[in-house]
Amino acid sequence: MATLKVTTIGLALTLSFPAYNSELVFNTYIDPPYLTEGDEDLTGINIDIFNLLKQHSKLDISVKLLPLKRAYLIAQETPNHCVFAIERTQARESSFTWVSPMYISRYAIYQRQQAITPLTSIADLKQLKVGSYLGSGIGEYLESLGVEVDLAKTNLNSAKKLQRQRTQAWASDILSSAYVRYHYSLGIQKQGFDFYSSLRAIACNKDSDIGALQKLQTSLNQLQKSGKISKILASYEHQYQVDLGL
Amino acid sequence: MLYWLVGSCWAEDFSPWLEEFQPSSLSQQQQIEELRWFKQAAQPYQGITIRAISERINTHWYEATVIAPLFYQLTGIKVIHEISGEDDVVKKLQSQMDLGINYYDIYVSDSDLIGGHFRSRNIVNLSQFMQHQGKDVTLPSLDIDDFIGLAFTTGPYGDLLQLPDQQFANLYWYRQDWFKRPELQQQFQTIYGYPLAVPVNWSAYEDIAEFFTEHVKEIDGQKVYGHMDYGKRDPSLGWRISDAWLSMAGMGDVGLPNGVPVDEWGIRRHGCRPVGASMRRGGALDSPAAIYAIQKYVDWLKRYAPPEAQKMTFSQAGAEIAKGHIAQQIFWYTAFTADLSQPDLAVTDKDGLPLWRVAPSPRGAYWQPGMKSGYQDVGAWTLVKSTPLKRQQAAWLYAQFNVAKTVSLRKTMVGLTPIRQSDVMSKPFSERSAELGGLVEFYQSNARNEWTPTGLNVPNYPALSSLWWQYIGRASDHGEAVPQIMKELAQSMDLALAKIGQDNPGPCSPKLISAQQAELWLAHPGSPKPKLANEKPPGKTLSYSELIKQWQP
Repeated sequence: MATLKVTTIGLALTLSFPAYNSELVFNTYIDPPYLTEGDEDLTGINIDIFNLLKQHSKLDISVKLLPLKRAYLIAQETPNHCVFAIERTQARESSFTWVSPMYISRYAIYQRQQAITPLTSIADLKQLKVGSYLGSGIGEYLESLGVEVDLAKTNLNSAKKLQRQRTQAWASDILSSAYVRYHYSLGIQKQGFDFYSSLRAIACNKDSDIGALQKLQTSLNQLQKSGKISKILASYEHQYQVDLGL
Repeated sequence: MLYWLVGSCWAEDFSPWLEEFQPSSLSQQQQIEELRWFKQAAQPYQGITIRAISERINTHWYEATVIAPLFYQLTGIKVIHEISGEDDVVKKLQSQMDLGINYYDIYVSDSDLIGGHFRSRNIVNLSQFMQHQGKDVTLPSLDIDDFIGLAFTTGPYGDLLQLPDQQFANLYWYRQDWFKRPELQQQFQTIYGYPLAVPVNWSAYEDIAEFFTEHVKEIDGQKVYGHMDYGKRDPSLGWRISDAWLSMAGMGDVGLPNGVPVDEWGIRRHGCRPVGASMRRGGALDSPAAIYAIQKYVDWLKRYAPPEAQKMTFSQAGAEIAKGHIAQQIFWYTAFTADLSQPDLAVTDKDGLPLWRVAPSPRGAYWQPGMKSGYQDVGAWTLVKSTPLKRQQAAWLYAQFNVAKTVSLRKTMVGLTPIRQSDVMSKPFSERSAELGGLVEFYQSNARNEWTPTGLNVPNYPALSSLWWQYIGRASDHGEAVPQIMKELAQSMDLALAKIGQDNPGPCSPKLISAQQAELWLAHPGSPKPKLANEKPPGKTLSYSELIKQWQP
């Protein structure tokens, strides 16, 4: 486990924890079923994990709901602010101190039920105009492969663009797509073409209280080892009838 | 064309596979036998979907887009072969090993991680697997002895831990057509007093870099540069340095595949235990040779490369030389050979033949015979123990399909990252010598054994490799002083080694030796080496034909 700690907060290598007493702010964004805004409170996978983390680490952490792009920028610019949970990518690696991994996201390409182009490999994606959303690491990834990507404001908007035939396909995390299918009738195929996975993590400002982040990493590691985070994911897999292949 | 094999009770059509997998070092009959074996061995696993992940180079793109679908058609085992950045592959593998969650069923992991693999006991021992749980799914004609990279994927006790899937080296790259121009040859000779040819040492490389950037400036109306590199503070900067750069300068000790007792990371070992990276603990990461290596890297980047290179990453910099404005590059990955062999590029002639060549890399002032000469990347199939056995077996079939003789020569011709002696010495590969600028000669020679990956001495590559880019980036990207950075890097490496040893005790775990005065170690034979009175000896060049003789079998 220590190796994970070293990997993610390697610059702060010490043989004991420094003191910490800062309040951390987790800036987050609507991303159902990872995070949804109910009548009274925020719910979802990320909130379930956040509650576990807060309880286990005994750190003073608050959650603030923002648009993803803004949440991302604030975490880049403000000490003791983090954005969660975003894709941990090589391009983003040097911009943050990471507490990682929260879980792995599986991504698939979905098409309209009435117009399905057969896909046998990622090379076939170059035939399609694929929808994603602003700030999504998966949009960046597809563009890097030479795929034409259309970015909507949110994942749901991207799904609706597919329904309205403004795109030919929709790249989405498979739990998110199951949520959309459960709540909206958009005529999108149920089983997509799996093509990528990404580690989702908590990305914190590089000038944040390193002791607090180490404590957070230790708690995350212990919760992972205990199986509690896997249990949370499994309950959502069951609810939305998807298989993350874990 | 149809390829039919009439069996005892049915006829099998292997046309799609036999058409795609040409050329092959096997006869058509032998290919059919291998294909039939895969089909039969896969029967218990039909319907399974497995996940594999590898870095993003042409070879893996071919695997993910051509081989994986054909494997599915043949076996009924569906493969989601993901392509991602090397840093992402490393992080996912490390997370899976640490947490025991089965993110992927198999990885193409660089053999640079082998020092951690043999210590962690999280990786499946392939030698044992092939004899026991994987016996029924191990291809009888796999021919392990035919693989050229086994020394890099074998643990210290002789067990195979990873199966090579692709290999590429770091070589010196240059514009042979420019070097041959009489007016440039004369101008260079006048200024520097020796011929414009392939540099043998860093002094000559530096002179040539200066010559093109500051004296030639323009060729055929285009601004040109004598050097190309990248310097953005990004994970890819770490590989630029840890991929043997300090060895090429001559920082470590003599020894192949890695220096003993001090390797190319500057880490000293006692037996199999890493004991320190700083000079105070017998390491060499803050030694004069290491400072020289990094200082040269920073100076050349700033003085001789295009200005935008300082803010570039590995991926961004890779495409630059194809634009035709770079005279030479000391550190060039042959994985990009196929990309530079297209007929419509500024670096190929009207017939599509290269105007460039690759040659043995020039060496720094501290280098001595018997040290490694450069870096070789060996991406190798790696199974993690946390993957359920049935999934391991299905994934092992896919791994072998990618390297089986039925497939491997065709894959080599596409990706130019050879793994088998039979492919390297084959007629089709040899015949491509003229268009590949020296790659064929390199792989057909023993030189390929002097270009080596990170070795057994690095006890946890993912944990330690991030230190490189975080510290070196402060010099290349932020302009901080190199000696101070190397001092801090060496101290951090020591701390990290201590932590790894503390958290994972074992007979080969790191254990720091007590710190002494650095001068005591500098007076000691070998690495760390004392500062040379002259770090820029006279430049020396050789003709391409002379240098390439080093690569004659």
